[in-house]
Amino acid sequence: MTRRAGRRYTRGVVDSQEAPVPKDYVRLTQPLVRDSKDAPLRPASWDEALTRVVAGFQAAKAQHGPTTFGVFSCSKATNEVNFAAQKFSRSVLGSNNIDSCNRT
Amino acid sequence: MFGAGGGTNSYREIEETDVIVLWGSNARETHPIFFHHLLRGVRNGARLYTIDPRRTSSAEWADVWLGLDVGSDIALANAVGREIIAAGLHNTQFIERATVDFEAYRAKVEPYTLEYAARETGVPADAIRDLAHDFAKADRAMICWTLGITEHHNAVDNVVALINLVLLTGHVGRYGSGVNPLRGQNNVQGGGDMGALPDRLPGFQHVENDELRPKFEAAWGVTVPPKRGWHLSGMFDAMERGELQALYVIGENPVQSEADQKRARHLLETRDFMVVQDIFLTKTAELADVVLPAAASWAESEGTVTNSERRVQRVRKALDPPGEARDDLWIVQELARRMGQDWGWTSAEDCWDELRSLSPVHAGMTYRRLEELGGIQWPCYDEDHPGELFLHSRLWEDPVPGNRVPFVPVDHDPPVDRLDDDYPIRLTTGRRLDSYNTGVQTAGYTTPMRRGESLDISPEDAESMRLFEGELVRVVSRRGQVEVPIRVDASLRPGLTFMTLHFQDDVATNLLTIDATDPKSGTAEFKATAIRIERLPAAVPAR
Repeated sequence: MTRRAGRRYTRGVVDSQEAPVPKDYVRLTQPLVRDSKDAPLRPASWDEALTRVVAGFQAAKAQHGPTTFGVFSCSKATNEVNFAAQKFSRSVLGSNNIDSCNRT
Repeated sequence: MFGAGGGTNSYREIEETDVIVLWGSNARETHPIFFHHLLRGVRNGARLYTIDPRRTSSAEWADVWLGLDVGSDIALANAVGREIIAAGLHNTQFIERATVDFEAYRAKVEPYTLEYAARETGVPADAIRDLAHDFAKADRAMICWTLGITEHHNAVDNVVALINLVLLTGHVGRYGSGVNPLRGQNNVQGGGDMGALPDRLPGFQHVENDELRPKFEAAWGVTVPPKRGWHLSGMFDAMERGELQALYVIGENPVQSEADQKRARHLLETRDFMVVQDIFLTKTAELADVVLPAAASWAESEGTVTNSERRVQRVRKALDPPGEARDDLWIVQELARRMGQDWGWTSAEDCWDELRSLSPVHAGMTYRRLEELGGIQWPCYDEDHPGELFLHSRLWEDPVPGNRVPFVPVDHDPPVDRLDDDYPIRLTTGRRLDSYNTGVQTAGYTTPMRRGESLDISPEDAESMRLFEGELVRVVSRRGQVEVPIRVDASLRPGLTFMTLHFQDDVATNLLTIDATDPKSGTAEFKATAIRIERLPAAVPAR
């Protein structure tokens, strides 16, 4: 019987009762940025990461106006984080394009 | 229909009701806590109907299982309504006092005879009649549903068809009777309540209401845009048109959770600017321009969450987030500060108190009271208000204060992804007890209950197609294809297959699914995909 190679199924027959190999998700412990669209993500300080976010949001607003923003909020996060996210969207970005994953 | 988006009842009420209709929900696996309350109801004598294309593990506890064809829920609901009226079992007093548009409803459901519904749904006419009579005659009855109702191109119509049934029978606004959407994540309810919706400010206050916006504008010192925004699916459509270029994604993995994955991924990777705030480097975070490491909302954050019975509960911080990861409230507030707004919160409670000052249904919920009372169910208008066990009791006052509730007649409309000779088999998707959504939070540990992805098919189909357990096959839809092993499952009827969305790294189920969405709710039709199964040349029978 052919077994799964790594995390991918191989052609042939597999044991459909077999447990999948656990994934190696590791916690994010530092901000990441990329220096161009093609560059890989690299670690950065909070100050650098937040500066880039602000610059990115401001550039988008200047170029396209506030309706160019979309905020995806989180159905696992607290009420407080959801309140903050919609306040940020409406009062800082100026956009009502906010939703959470309550539709999937 | 009723105004605020929340389940009408409390968990304890299902323990003391007489008829439970679990419609499009496998709560045994997807809402195990709620299901314990439901089982107490069954032990106390409630009659349980489950309505689901699959004979699920929830159905094993039911008195009756109605195995309808995927996407035929409205045909079934309208037939139940028609039968109730035909048998004279509708609650005329309630209908006259508390509702409007009954005649339009009666006319709409008239063609939905038991015979028509039996043909259209695959459920025997006798079973539909029994459901109608048991439901209508019960003193107390509840309808509970989940994504089997809402993950369709006509999600809102599906919900409305169920609400019509409680208006018809008066099974709403009283203890032990009502309609309850079960929420699939710990704070789906709260996300909407807090205004993380394109058309609602916190507390279900409509953003297009010119009398409500000024309160928020005064509190925040800004102008709130007066026109509703796009919901999630609308945002993807706007990306396609080039009208949405900058994204701030907090704790979501849309690359893997959206239907029609190829399209979703393409649209996300071609944005001008995307920020992802998460606790893991998800497939979505890998595409971001900036990734902000956040705190887990569980154990690393102070705050509140709201469950399916509208109960707001405190969550408390026990651990610091690892490394440089920061509390989400700090991150959002710091971004606001750098963009010119000082919100002045020094704690989660400061944020909550601002919400309480703006949302009347949360006004009386201080952290102190939430602690003392073990949580409070909205609405809670002031600090003397205990919260509400169930909603809409006003419908039983005579005369009814405020607006009467309209029947909304709706028609059956089958799934968008039609079956034909090229794609003759129905695939429906769902969850299993041991895993959570795209697996980001569950795939990192082992559990003896978990097995990998499979295409579950009925024994009859396995035999007629000569497919065997464990055979790797190619599953093809009109949008994509995946390779996955066959698993024979006797809970499926011929023509119906099942997959989960839990193992997207191994088998990207959402390459197959269709993003036909409900025009009002924006929910995609994850529940109904047309597929064919292709054998791979190298497959040999297992020994």
